[in-house]
Amino acid sequence: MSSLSTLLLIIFFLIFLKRNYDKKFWVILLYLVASFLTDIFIEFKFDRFYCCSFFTWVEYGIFSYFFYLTFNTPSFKRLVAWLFPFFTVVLIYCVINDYKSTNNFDYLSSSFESILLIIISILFFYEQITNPEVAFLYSSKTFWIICAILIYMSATLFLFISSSLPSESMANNPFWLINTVATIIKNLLFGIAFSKPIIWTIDTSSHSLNKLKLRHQHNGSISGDFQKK
Amino acid sequence: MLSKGESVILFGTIGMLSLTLGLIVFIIFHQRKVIRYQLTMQKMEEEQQNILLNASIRLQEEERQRLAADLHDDAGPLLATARLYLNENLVMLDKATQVQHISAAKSIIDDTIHLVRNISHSLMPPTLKNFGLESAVNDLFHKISGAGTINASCRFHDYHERLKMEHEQIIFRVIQELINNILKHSNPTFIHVTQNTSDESFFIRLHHDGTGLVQADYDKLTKSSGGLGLKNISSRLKVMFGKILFEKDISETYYKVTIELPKEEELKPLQK
Repeated sequence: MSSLSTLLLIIFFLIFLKRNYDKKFWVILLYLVASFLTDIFIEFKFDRFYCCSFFTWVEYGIFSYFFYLTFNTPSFKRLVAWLFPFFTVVLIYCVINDYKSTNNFDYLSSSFESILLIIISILFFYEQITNPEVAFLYSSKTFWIICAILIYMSATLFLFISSSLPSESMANNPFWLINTVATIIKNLLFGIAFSKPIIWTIDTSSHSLNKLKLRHQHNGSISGDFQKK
Repeated sequence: MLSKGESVILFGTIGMLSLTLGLIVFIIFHQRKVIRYQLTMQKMEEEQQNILLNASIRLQEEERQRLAADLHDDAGPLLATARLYLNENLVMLDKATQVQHISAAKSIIDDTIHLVRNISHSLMPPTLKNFGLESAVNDLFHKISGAGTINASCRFHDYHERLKMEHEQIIFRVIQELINNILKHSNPTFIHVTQNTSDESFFIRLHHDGTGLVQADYDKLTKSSGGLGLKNISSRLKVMFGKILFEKDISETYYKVTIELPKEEELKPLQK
């Protein structure tokens, strides 16, 4: 079900290709392709633990790069860049020490990934509060993508943490449905982001008031030092 | 009945989702509030700019009217009288009357020259142009003190080099406007102006013992429809990225006006 929604989303992205020509959105497309391929590999009875661990690393790497491209604050960019090698080390440690649940899931690295991405998403919102770029946050494509990441990571965090519990019932836990539902919601929000038209804002280094003024004046006609959001 | 693990998953997920949704809703509303505030500020700034622009246009019109009135009411009749003395019948008159008429016309023309010079000096004081701000302010204060009722003095501590002509003109006009206001409304017995500098700023401080304004009055007057002179001061200072502060001294005996302007080398990047 979630694989199907991912596949549909890839097609949806290609339909709205003109609206998603920015590098940031291609990064998300890459994530969707990776997600779809991982599902296929697991279906084909590849080792679930290694597949999941590799996908967790790819997922974190792709989302980190997306955040790196999104942040305007240099310190946040640096933080995201430094967290990636740190996460890689933690993930390698988890793989070497075989931290897996009864259903062969990399619960530790996935939980750690969720916590890091939730923190980074909150940093994005903090940046938007202190230095707003667009008049209405929800009109930006980036906002919907980050909402999707945040909701997915929040919804699955406790599921991932709990999968470490040595309960027999956890192997065929009906709560894994949460993961499927969260993936579908995430894909829906990605879909909203892909279908949104591009909003043009001027560079954040300019004064925020001038920025707003320019945005109102150039509603459609584009000039100056603008960025896609 | 839910097991321990299942309870953790269920309540943890519900809790996390509630927090996340709450955070997103809060961010959206907060951001809208910030944007609304910024737009209000922008609107207020635009309104203030309009008030200042209107004040400056009105002032310019008043100045033109004053000049027109001076030329029409004073110079016009004088020149017309001189023309009467020098009409075509002058050649028909006897020698003595001719000399008398020419002498009267010469005197009238001298008066006209004096009048035109006065008008020209009121537009651009020659002392300011030729000798700089300190001399121009000294000259102005000398005239005020000369009347005998007010003790006006000034002291420039750090004015070793002249500023750009247009900057000196702006500062002089601001001082002149302040002095005019003090003479019109404050009824002081002394006015004292000092000048000094810091690393980044050029200060002019004006003290007087009449009735005066504090900052709240100034802010109110510059935003109201009145206070044309004060609006003029505000718009002139804006050109130089200057600030003005009206306050009452702690001793409550005199009022103080401080003008702070960035030094010319500091002003260049601001003007870009």
